[in-house]
Amino acid sequence: MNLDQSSREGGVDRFRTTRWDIVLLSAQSQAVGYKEALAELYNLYWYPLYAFVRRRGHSPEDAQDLTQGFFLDLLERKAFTRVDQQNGKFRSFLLASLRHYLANETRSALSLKRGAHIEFVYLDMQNIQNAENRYGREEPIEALTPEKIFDARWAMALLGEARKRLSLEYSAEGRAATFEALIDFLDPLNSKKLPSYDQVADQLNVSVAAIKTLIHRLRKRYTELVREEISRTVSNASDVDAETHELCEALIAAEGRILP
Amino acid sequence: MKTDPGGVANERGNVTGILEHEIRTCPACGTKFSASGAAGVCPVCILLGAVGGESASSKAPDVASALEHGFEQRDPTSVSRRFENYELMVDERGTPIELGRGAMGITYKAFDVDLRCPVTLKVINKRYVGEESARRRFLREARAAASLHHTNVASVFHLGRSGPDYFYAMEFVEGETLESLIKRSGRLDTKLALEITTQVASGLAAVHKEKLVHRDIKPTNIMVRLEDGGAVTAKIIDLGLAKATVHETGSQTAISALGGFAGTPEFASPEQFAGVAVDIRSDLYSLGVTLWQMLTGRTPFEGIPAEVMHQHLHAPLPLSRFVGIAQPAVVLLEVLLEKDPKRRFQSPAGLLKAMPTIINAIEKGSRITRQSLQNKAAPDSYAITRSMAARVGPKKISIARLPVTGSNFFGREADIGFLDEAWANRHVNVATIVAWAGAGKVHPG
Repeated sequence: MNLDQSSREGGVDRFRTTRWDIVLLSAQSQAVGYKEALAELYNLYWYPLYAFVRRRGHSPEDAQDLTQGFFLDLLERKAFTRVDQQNGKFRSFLLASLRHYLANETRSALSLKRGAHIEFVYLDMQNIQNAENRYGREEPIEALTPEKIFDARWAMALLGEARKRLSLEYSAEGRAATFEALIDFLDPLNSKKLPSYDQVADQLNVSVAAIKTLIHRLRKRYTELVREEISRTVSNASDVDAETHELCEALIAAEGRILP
Repeated sequence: MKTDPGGVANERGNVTGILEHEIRTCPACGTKFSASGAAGVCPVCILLGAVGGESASSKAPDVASALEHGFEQRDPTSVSRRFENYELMVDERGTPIELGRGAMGITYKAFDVDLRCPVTLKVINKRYVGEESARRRFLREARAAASLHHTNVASVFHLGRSGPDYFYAMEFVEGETLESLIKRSGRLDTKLALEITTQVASGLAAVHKEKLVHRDIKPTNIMVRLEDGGAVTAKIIDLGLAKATVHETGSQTAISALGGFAGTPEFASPEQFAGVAVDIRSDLYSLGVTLWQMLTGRTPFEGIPAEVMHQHLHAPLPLSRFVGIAQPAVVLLEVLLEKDPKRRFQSPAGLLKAMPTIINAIEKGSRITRQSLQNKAAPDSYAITRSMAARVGPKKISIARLPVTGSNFFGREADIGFLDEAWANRHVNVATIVAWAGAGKVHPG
């Protein structure tokens, strides 16, 4: 099974369009390459899991161990046997699996795993080190369930990934300057002192009318990538909108307390 | 730590002392979000922008549902506030700000999240364009309206579709409707009323140039902004009823399927009621009614729609209501409100040419005649008065209008049309045809 569904040329987006449903099927059938594909997806969304574990009262050290232990559990295919076939969302799958994992995992088991010198090759260690700082900056929302906060963090991770891809696309096309000049214009309340359209038009050597068109295209592409990201995390295309609305609800409830 | 209790934009969430992050409230959807989020953009707006893509399910925002159930009854965070990159703006209670409501749909104040500017968004009632052929015509004509750019016309710059429904975005015009100005003023000063009339006529000239007819000129469709120092700016809004005046080839014709009568009875022209083809002269009639209301605070004909229609078609103008209004303005109204379109100004340009005469006469306190007005308008008009009879002949019809050679009997439709109009015009007594011998003067058609 070909796990790389990328439609773009080159290596930048090798797994960018890897879909959760394909990973799930390949994991269950032990297809070659499924671990790398799973790691690709997991790396994008592991922080919400880490924060969820922290919110359950675990120390930073234990949260790191548990998060990575959970990932190993995934790689060893244990979690996939518990996948609800009716629930095709990667987000729901991860959260349900994590809760199951946390319920069963004991401190001693964790120690055993640590003592076994298992090498965590898939996760970005720099991200792990930064995670605690990030977690500490976020404001707790007592009125929300951990699951709702998890969903809001998931949404922010997804948006961040789409934005990163947007930036990479513009860079790959030699239009990094355009991206940098226009990205702030997507914010209707940008508190930065934005230059005028005339100034940006001069900077990019295009007309003011072209600037407006470029902003429109930038936003359009951004939302396309967001949709693409969401579609990667659901098994059924018809679930994309429902998933989007759930993420919106979580973000609305979070009231801006979740950092990207 | 408790959650934020208020709804103000630009709060500061100082959590641990490590870093402050700004929490804003999105003006479009009301969501609070961290300013350091993805590109600093409201994440909910971005996500909602992703709803309804090519593979979207039926859960995309449904304009029809919003119209049928009303936005007021919906959750303030409802996704139906989003129309592509336009977000409906809300008041303090979270209710979308409605600018107007008509047969075609509802007009809202909205915010273009791409260009960061307010716009006017009109959501078309699906019942108005419920039939596919009518919908196609509407689309074509909306495109024509979008091609219209003039200082005195609010631009239509985007037409969008959500499922079977349409919406379009227009330039948001600061100020108030002319109706609002009249209501709070009682009646307008003649000079101000004529200035607004001139500007609206200028806008109509642009409408005419695009071969369109507005069909619903009235005070609620004219935005005015009074500047310090007495200057005024007037703009025609809502080209929603605009239709093409020329029939295109094939089956694509004007919006006849949208119903016989379109417009507002008090301001509609006799020909609109008659259900015959209308042209820009119909808009000039409506502008006349609008001027009448500016000067008197009332429309010339009032009552139930049937009574209003009958009066527009048959009743003389109640000129006795004009007390203390300058005579040249009254004469102007008489011309504009002629029941026969052929006796009005034949184009907005004709009206514009006549306006200086009226204004100068009012300033000097002198009187004018109808003939002097339509004399000014003559270059754009085939409506000729008795006093111009001496000019009607060779100078107006002119040799240039006739075939160069005496052998060509074709291509005379315009000349024949001219003669037909002259024949129908009671002010024309003599029409002289001058041409070479054998050109066909006796049997021109």
